[in-house]
Amino acid sequence: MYTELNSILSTGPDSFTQGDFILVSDRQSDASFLIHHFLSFYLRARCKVCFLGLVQSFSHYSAVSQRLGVSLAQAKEKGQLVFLEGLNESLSVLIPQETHAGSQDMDFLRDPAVGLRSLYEFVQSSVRSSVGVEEGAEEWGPPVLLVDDLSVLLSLGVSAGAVLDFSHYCRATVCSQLQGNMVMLVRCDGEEEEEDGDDEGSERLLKGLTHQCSLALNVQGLPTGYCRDIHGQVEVCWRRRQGDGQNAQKKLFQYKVHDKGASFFARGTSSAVL
Amino acid sequence: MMAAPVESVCKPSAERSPFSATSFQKKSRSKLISIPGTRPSVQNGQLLVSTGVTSLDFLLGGGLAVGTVLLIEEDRYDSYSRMILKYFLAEGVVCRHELFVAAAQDNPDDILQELPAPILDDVAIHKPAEQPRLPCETHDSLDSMMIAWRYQNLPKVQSALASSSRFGHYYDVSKTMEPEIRQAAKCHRFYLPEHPTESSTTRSPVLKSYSALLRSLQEVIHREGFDVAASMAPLAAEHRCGAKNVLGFLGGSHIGSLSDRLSSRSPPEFENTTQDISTSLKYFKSSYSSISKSRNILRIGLHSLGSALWDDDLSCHDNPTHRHSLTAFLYGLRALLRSSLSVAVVTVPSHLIQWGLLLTLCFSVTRYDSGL
Repeated sequence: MYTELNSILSTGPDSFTQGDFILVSDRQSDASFLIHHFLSFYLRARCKVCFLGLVQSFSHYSAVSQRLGVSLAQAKEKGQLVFLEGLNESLSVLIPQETHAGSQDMDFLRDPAVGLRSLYEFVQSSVRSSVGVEEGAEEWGPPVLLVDDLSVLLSLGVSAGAVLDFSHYCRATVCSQLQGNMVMLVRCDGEEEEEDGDDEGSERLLKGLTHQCSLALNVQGLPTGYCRDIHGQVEVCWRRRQGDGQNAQKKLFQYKVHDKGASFFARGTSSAVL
Repeated sequence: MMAAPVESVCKPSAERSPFSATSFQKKSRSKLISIPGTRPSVQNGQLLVSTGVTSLDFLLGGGLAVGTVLLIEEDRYDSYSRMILKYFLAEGVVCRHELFVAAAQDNPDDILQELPAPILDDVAIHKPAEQPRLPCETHDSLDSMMIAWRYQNLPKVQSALASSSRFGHYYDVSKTMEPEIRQAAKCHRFYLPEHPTESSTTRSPVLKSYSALLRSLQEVIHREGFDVAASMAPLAAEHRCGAKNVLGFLGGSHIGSLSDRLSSRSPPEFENTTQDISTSLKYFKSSYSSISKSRNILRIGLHSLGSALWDDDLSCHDNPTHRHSLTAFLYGLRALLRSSLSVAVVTVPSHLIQWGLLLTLCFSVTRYDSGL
């Protein structure tokens, strides 16, 4: 959890708005440090967290969270964290075995045309289970869904439309019905300017998700190239809330990721410059 | 009179010496494993291996992290990319790592025969020329050292280990590696024409050829005991937490691979309840140490994936039917690698392919352009 980012977003583990859909995107840069931030943030806020880790192993997330002061293994044990390790689950589908049936959650791998229904059902069951609390179990706050990352689904053959359906269903369940939060990461490779048009599924996905989200964090590399003291810039974009009457607001920060955190500063105010 | 103060000075210092010896011990992290030819990253402590090209290691930030994939986009004539692949494999041979070579076009044996010869100044390959000569030989004085003469009697042989455990080597591309060095390395081969793709009824999202390759890789990783990396972290945590968590740990599904390995040998221990925790913990510890003794790295070289010879039509059609087969394969490869002590270099003839989302799945991508 990065306190500087919390103050930018004017939020904290004790007081955060519910029903938010936060979209994290990156372009020629790596925004996964924000996923780690939100994971530790919501675990500290005592939310019930459902994490779809599609790109890394559990031990990877666990090692990073350890540095940020949160133990994923403990959270899992206490029932606060539900973790889907996509890499592990996929192997039983990609290497079909007669004896082992494999789980249903990654059904889309067998036939991408089916869509992400089974994955949504996994999310639904894991966030809803928090509502009906059993006796004696610890009580957790509103449910939170984290996805790292959606672009992998495109590489595995799922269409952008199916991913948008998935996120919409999740938003309806998690954000609207249960008043929880949702954080999703999507990555784009190409330049923003170039319009390939036809098969750029990730661009279409990004546009669709930006339309759905309530807060967008857009991470980019520096346009001037690599710099040791500034790792890139984050564009924070609040979308207009109903009744608020305020226009969409944008702010741009530069950031540097440290060993145990990240610092955010206004453009040109890096300690290396001043 | 003089003897007494000297003695009184010497005695406490002699008593103190064990303490001073311990307090100045080199601080080292015990959980880092030492395998020849690897080193921990300066930045994050990840275990790195060399690609065989020292300058490429530098570009990658010290080396190739174990458990990752390096994807190399082939140049048009596959000359430079093939060389990178051979350097990677040759480095594995020199470091005594195990190899896995898969190809569809050339036989893996042919690729292995082309490995470049290492330039090893201090290697101990016992050649007859290096046998100790008799001192009475007259021509011996001619090539004896003139300046650093005091080093000439030092043994030349004992540095064999140092050489194979060193990180990164230099190679002479104009020569091929000598067969006896090459054959010392354990190598697993996958040559696609030798694997007839059976028409199975089980539906798989990837091509039969890729599926067969994944299965073969998984077999090697399980059989040769490379699949320990995933269980290392929970194991270390479990040792710290003590016996309370052992039951949950043993019953937990998250250790997957290791518990599969162990349960095949001793199923009853996993069904036991509280009274047997200590025995199973002991068993666990012993198996842990037995695994850690034989740890090695598996280097995986996959040549020209995505070409037509792998049954892939990515490079043949504008609108291929198996559009996502290669990416799904890479996803599976990543899954296999992340839970094992292995590292892969994959070359892909990307200039033939309408390039899509492939890049996002790999650790890093190197483009080689022959400039022709």
